[in-house]
Amino acid sequence: MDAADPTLSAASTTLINVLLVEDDAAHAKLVRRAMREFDHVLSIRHVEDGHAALDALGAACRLGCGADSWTGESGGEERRYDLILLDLRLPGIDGFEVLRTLKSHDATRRIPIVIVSTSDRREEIERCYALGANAYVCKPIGFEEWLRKVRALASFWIHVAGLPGR
Amino acid sequence: MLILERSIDKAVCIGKDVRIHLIEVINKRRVKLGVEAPPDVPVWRSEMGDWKGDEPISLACERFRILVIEDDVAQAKIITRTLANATTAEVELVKTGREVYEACDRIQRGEEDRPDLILMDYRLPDARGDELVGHIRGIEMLRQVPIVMLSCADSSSEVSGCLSAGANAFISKAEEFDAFRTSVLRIVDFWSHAQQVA
Repeated sequence: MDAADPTLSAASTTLINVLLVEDDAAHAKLVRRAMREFDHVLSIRHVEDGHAALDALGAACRLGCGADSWTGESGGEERRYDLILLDLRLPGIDGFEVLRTLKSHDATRRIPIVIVSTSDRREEIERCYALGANAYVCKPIGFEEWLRKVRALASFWIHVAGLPGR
Repeated sequence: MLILERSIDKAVCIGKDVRIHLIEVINKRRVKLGVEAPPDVPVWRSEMGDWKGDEPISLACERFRILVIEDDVAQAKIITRTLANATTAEVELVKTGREVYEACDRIQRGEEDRPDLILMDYRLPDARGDELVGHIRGIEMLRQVPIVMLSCADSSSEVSGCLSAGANAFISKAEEFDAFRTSVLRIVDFWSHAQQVA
């Protein structure tokens, strides 16, 4: 799939790390499956709640410290994420709070966050963009349509968009 | 007259490979339509008229409006021609930071419609991209408009700066015409399907 793409440039050969914040196991499985079709995805880490998402992006976010370092995985392994896919309906801290927190800290503000939600309510969409979401995608009902949207989403952010640190 | 039934099996064909069906009637005033179309067919937002009982519902389609901010004549031509040939989008082209500020003022005064998407060159003769992004994001009614930056450079600091200022995405302009054209179409395709607020 990647080899025939005319939009590939030298800059887009960098491998990226994706953080998927989704409590629905079936949706998460589908997103991971679709993302793995793209050679440029180095890793896709899946967490199921807001607290885990903030943990994955470093304790600095929650403590409001200066953010030069990242602490991510267990064992102190550092991980930098290039793209975040964020559901709004999460146990514990909801997606809005995760979005607000990440977009209010210097260390994480520039990471593109794509909201992936079942809701198409105007007030929720407005709120997400007001909080700094880079894009808002509605999960359609049908499986095939959802797969198509995820592929389009991944194709845009992986093949076309420039990401920080590339 | 187009009669729609609340069943995906009763979808009506309105064009080549394009079908619509009724999803629901909301509060007896608005209807929600489902549209099935192949991935290469852009599907634009629609403005629904209020339903007044037995009267037919008028369906008016708004054209997707794109504001292109580009001072390079050749690049501007590629972008506008690509959009004209492959989409039904309404395109406005401005070339300087000053024209951007003036367009923002007109939009705020209600003299011009808000765009649905902004494609902006990072380097303009009289302004820097992240400064203009900051200005646009400071305007309440433009805060939700997606801004996609276009740049010849692939500087990490430029990418970071623009995303931090509030740009939605940053695209490096490819050197080859076909690659750049494909990128422009992908941008419009993605943002026309991403959920926005009317």
